[in-house]
Amino acid sequence: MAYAFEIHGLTKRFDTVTALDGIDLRVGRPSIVGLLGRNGSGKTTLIQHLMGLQLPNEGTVTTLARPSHALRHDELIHIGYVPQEIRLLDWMTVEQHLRYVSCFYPAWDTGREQKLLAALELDSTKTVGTLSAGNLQKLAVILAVCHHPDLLVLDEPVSDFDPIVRGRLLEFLLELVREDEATILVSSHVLRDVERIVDWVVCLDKGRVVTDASLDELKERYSEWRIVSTDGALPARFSEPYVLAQEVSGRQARLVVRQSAADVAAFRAAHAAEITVHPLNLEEMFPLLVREDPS
Amino acid sequence: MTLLRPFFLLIARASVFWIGALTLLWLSVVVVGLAQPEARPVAALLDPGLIALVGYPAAAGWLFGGVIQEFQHTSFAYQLPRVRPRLAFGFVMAGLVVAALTVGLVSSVSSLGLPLMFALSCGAYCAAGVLLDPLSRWVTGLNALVLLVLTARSQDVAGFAGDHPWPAALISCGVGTWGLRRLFARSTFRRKPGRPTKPLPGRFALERSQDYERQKQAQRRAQGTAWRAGYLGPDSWPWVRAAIHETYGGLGRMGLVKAINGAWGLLLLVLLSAWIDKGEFNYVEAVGRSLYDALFRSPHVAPFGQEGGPYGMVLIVIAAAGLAMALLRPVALSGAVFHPLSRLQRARVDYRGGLVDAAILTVGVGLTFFVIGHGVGWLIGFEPRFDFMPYYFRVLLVTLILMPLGHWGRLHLGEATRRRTGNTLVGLVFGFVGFVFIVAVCTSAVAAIITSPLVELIVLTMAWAASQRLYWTGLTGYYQRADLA
Repeated sequence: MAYAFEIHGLTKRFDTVTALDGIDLRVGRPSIVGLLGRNGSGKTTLIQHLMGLQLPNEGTVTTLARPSHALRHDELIHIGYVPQEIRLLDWMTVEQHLRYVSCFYPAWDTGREQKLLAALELDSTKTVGTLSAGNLQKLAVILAVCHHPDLLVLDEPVSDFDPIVRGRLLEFLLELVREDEATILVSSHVLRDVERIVDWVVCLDKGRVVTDASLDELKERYSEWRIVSTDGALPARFSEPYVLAQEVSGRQARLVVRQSAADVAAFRAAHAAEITVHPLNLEEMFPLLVREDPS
Repeated sequence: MTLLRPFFLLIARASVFWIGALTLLWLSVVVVGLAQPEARPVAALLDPGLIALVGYPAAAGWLFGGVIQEFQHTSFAYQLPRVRPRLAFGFVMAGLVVAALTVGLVSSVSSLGLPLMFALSCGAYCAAGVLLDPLSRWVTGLNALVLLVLTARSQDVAGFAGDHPWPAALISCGVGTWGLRRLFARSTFRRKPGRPTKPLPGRFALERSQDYERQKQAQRRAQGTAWRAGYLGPDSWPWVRAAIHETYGGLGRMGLVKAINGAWGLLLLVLLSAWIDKGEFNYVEAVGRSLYDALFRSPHVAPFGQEGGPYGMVLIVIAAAGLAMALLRPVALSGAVFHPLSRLQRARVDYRGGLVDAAILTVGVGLTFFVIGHGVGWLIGFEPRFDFMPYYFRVLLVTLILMPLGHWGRLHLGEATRRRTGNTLVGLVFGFVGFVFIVAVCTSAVAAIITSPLVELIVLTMAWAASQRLYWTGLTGYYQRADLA
């Protein structure tokens, strides 16, 4: 299987701080991968390694079947990148900037560019320096996708978008995967959006991969049980190993669990209670993924 | 002490010390130079005593005022309790000390009475607090004009002050009160300036200067030239063209006019110099003569060279321009855009961008010294002289040989150079002084050791090739090993 990128034993240190600590990761294509993690968990550093902008202290990073630090023009023109800190050329108009960047790529799609300008409601006559943070992000996204990239790397691409534009962008990203069979790596704290598009989730914590699983698998793995006792009061505290968090109040309880079907049956048998299983969304799941107490 | 602390905490930083020390040194050189008996004819109109009496306090006021201006327009300054009186108290106390020291220093060479000297010093100190006024270009312009006239006609001003001590003291106090009031007025603290404070783009100024940049962009239409090219491909030269576009495209077609507009102070100096020292020329010829003097025969820099021989100022200008091109505005691809280039290609574009910088410097030096210099020389009927050309070429070649040092410095200083803040500013000042010193030493050594022009040309060309080779090796190594983000 061809991988969009492969990482083996990646370690990156900045002086005494270890930003990435033995990362192993492989992402196939096409797919949309959500890169999650708390502030300072190493997401941006990881992304910069994928782009070949940073060099590992240990380990290897392969992007589009080539060591990322040795990526050549021929490979880089198949990658789209929206960095976290967007600083474009302030003195150009949006139109001038688009024309300028279009010359970097042999397969620039003007049709897609116009479609996105309209969908994201970006005025191409404005000077880049006058754009709001949100509009700057829109331009950065357009610049990153109009050359039909095989790999699109988005580092916090929607943080300044309004909900309507966010929705349109997410639709477009899905379309991009369908049309171009691209792989998209998106790092974001807006987890509801991530959840709408990703099929795979990678979660970093303190420079280590703590979760590397499909979204469906995670949804099956974690859930919330709402419990009503059918036989008197519930115990003050549940001690089952799969219970990750709990809130007990008389005959009712709310448990966050890492579950399996067998666990449900065993729990029913042990506590004589009615259980309603509710799936967790990614935002509710996030503290579990980074091993924090969800309560 | 509680009242003094805020002011002294503000000024207690390296950049204030070093800029202050350099200003003091420069002012002392000028005053001592003007006081020499063999000083140029214009010295007849200048009074070194008055220049020192007004200059030192004005320099201190300008520096301390700059620190306060930088701080007072930040988003948090206005909300601090009793910030205005506290800062004003510190500013005034420091001014009194500076004025007292200056009077003590100048009293032996000036015929003015001590109280009058103190009043003039205090007035100059307070007025200079708003010498560069970020709230009004008019005030800045007027201040600069007054300062120039005061310097250029200091003999007359000293005469007036000696003849009419009371009016002179009153005028000085009035101007000083105006400066103090403008610097510490409630409305000054409340207003948001249209441009950043100078000369200290420090830690507080950063917040404002970024605001300022955005506002400036927001207020103007795009003026850059449009880019017209097809797919750039993997070859590096088209990317060098792109780098030139990114570096200079923003200036637009009116870039040169804007640059001249920005140097209006220098033009004013030339006009004023011509006005002061016309000699037998008419005014237009006197302007030409002033330009010619500045470029080829500047007596202002006589201590650095010899009359009619190689001039130190020429060396300083060429070397500083070379370093400024390499360090502050090199032809390079901006970090603001993601360029699909391999690390080796980036090294190539940087290297070739350096060659473009060298070419621009060569053309610029040629235009400035030879075309403009000989043009104005021809205007006033001077014989064209070419005897100094080997010296100019030597300085230029040595600068070209050493320019990679500047490019190398930019790579390593990176973002810090772009922002030019705080301690980086001090580093830059030292960098420039060091670079000019190295160019001066190398130029002198080459002139002393090699006597044949042909051998000199061959040696300098070989040295340039070697420095380029070294730079290329270092550059490729850097791009192989460095984190680029």
